[in-house]
Amino acid sequence: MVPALGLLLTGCYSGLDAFDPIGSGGNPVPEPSGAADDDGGGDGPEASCQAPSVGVTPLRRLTRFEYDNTVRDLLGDDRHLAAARFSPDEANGGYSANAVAPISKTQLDEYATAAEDLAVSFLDAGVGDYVDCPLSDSSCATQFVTKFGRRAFRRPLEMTEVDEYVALYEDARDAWDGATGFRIVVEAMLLSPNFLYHMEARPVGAAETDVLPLGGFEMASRMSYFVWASMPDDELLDAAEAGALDTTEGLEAQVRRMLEDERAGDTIASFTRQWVHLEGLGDKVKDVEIFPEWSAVLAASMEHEALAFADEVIRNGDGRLETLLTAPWTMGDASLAELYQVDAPEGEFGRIDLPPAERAGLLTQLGFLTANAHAAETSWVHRGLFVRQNLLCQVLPAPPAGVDVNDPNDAGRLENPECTGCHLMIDPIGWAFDDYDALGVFVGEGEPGDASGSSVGEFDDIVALAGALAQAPEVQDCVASQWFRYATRRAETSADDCALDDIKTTFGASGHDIRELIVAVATSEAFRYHKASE
Amino acid sequence: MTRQGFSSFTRRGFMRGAGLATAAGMGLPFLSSLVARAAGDEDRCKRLIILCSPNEFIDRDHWLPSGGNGDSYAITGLPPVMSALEPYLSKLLIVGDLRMQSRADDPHPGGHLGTSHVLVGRKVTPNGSGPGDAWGGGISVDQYIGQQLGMDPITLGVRVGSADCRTRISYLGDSQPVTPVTDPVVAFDSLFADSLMPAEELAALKAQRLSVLDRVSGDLERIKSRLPQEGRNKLDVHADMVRELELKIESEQVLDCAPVPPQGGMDYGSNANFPTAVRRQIDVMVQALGCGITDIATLQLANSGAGNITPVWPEEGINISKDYHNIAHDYNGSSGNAAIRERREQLEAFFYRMFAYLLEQLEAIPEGDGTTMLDNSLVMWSKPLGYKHRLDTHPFILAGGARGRLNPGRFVSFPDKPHNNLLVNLCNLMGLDDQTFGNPDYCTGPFDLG
Repeated sequence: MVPALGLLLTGCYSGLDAFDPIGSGGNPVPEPSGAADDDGGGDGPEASCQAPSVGVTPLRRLTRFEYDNTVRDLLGDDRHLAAARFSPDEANGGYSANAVAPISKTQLDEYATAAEDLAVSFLDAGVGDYVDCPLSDSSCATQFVTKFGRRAFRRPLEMTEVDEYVALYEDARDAWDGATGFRIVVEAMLLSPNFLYHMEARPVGAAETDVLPLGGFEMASRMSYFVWASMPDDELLDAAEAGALDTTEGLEAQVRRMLEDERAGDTIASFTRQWVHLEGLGDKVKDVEIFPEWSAVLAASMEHEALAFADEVIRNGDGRLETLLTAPWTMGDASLAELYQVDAPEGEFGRIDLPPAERAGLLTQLGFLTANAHAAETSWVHRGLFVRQNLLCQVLPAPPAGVDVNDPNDAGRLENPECTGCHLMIDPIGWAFDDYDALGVFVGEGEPGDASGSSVGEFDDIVALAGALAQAPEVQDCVASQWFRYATRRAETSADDCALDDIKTTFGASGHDIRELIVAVATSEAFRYHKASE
Repeated sequence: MTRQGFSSFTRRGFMRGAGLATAAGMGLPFLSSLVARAAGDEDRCKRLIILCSPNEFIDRDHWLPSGGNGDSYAITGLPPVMSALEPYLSKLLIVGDLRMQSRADDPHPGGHLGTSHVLVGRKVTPNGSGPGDAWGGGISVDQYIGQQLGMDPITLGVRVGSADCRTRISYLGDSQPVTPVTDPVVAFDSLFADSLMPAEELAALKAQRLSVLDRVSGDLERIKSRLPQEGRNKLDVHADMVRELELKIESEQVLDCAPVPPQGGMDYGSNANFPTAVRRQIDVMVQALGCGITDIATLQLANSGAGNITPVWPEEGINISKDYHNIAHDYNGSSGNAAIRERREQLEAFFYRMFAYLLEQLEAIPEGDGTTMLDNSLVMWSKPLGYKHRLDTHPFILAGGARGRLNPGRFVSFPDKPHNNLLVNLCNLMGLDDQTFGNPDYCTGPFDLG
């Protein structure tokens, strides 16, 4: 089954007759079918929201980011081996998830090599954090397996599991020595499915279609990977063990505690990086003739800018979506200030005030504009599509078969009946972005834009667009959906409607505060229940 | 998710001998052909090497060889962009004008999903609504032949990009991508490092690794029973991979060759080092094949979109600050513009040079009786998309002597015939007697390659 990701604009191709080329006035884009709130259906939320309902959650492996954060918290190892060495994550619902394809041989090799490497380093530096006893003693090993295992597997080990891992230790100790025994245990746990997967076991005998609450430890794990992008800490595991996560109040108390922790910054960074398409920014090639200043260092500054800005707004500021989309300031260093043509910040890195007529929030930041552009030219498609897909949650199909695909910014395609349907949705937003070149510098070459098919409609420039988007109900709902997809690593389905409606309502009541959105998602039914099959 | 029963087969050579009795006892349907194949490798071309370049072809004038007219003739020359292949004219069999029919069924037939069709010949299986949210819909021909011959193919790539159907060419089954190894140092180490280790150290390492994997298998088995079917399926595959790894560790690999490792300390994944990474991956692949580690290898360069390739490669004589994707699109829109045409051709010529580099390495290694690796191998080269993303006029180039089973130096054309047919030819040349591959609706049997 293919989940419906927002609104599929199949109308791009149908109803061409209704189209007028740009300039003839009126709304050139047909109202997308199904644009209205689904709430009007026969079995509306009132009728169906009594019993818990949730979409299917597949088994998924840790992402590279989650793996690195987990070994940082478990082993004290912050070398980011996964980011450097593991194959890319598979995305699901727009966010890295590793939820569809099973593991491949190459990935097992990557895990095995990393486990060996991490275990060796841990034996040198980290065992003392867990036990203070002779490594040659079985009782010491039992103590270690119990304590380390609870963190590595994000749940207490069963008696048989403790016995098995101690037996593994003893075999290795007898063949080599105690330290080797400990190393082998760590290696095996890092290579165990209990470590590598977000393991959500179900009671024996439960039907696949049963909607069941997650157990306490599974809930703790889901929460920490959502709010921290890492494993639970001992306090969260203890709360799970005490049953404190079985109530909404208990859950909420933990989420609010976790949001105050530094590690919440990892989730804000991970979400922002994926939502704003910053992944791969450092790998972008720019035309050196036009952009001699482009370098890996500048790319890193730009990525840091967006993440620091989001972090500043969400963790230290008012947390509001409107601020993310409209703030006439950013966080950066001298190299970025130069591109913004403003004074450098005090200190090496800090807040930079920007010209309000030119800049408004994430959409006018250097990182977004550079990532969504070509080597020399801007990209109407990348920038326009971002607004349609990631802010309005509208999904446009790919170009039809056999179409002649030409220039990346080709005005002629709006006169080609095969292209015009979708490109009328994209290009008139994209060309307004031409105020900013392929490195995000303000050049003032944009034209007034048109986001018809949304409540935004026509707009003068990107600053005006950003202001209108921040007030648009469909953008506010879309951001809630994006965070839901990030939290669950899957697209929402109709089974999530009730939970998602509640989340959107709570988000609205908070004045669209992202922190409250995170709490609402983490305490929602869709996050606390599990279903294995439709 | 189908598993295509690959755990019923082992993919390493030992099954060919010792495992036969077991297979016979189970009465498996492929037994007769397995017995025939077991008689000796002479029944087939010695090895299969697949090289896939990124993105799309240029128009027909840019790949049609000279030498005659019509559907079959001897090649006397090549278009200028292919000049790197001139020394190998007599070793090429250019198969022209096929149709990648399976792409027609994709959710986005005009898009860039071709990578998942080249070796599969089935429509992709979507798992989301984005343009790349899908995986290949069945086993790929390299993996299939590997399973049938009881050996593990090598799957390499360079700068293949993210993880979706646009970036994966090999599959073990529907939505079961084979992740390519994209760093030549990692590839070399996984193929050779153990063999180069002192025996005593290796013995200890193997014992430790096996004890770890034994524990992992136990954990997999226990947790599996508590998961729904979807999770159990994934862990079944995981357990198969663990068993594969155990078999690899247990096997006593003795090499009668001295492989040379690629230079370390280099970012082989960067755009700037792309040409070097391609050559080093070819080196690793040729050494692995030459050392007899396997007879099947696939190397995928970038992907069907190729937006991540920007040919700023001064040492290659190319300096274009535009990505491949847009270089191709520009050409399609304005092929009359001399500058746009020139850079498109420069880029195309570079990828033919990489193909020629592979042939050069294969020809440099003698294999007895005056033959070379190239004489005994079958190389297939192509791209994921036809000109302007089209399904038709899609050429494939076969190269090598295929141990006398191929009659190269010629051009043959099969206008609008499905490329699945050629995948059947690959099976046959590798000693299998299959008559169809991929979606049978798109396969009319092997071509008569003459």
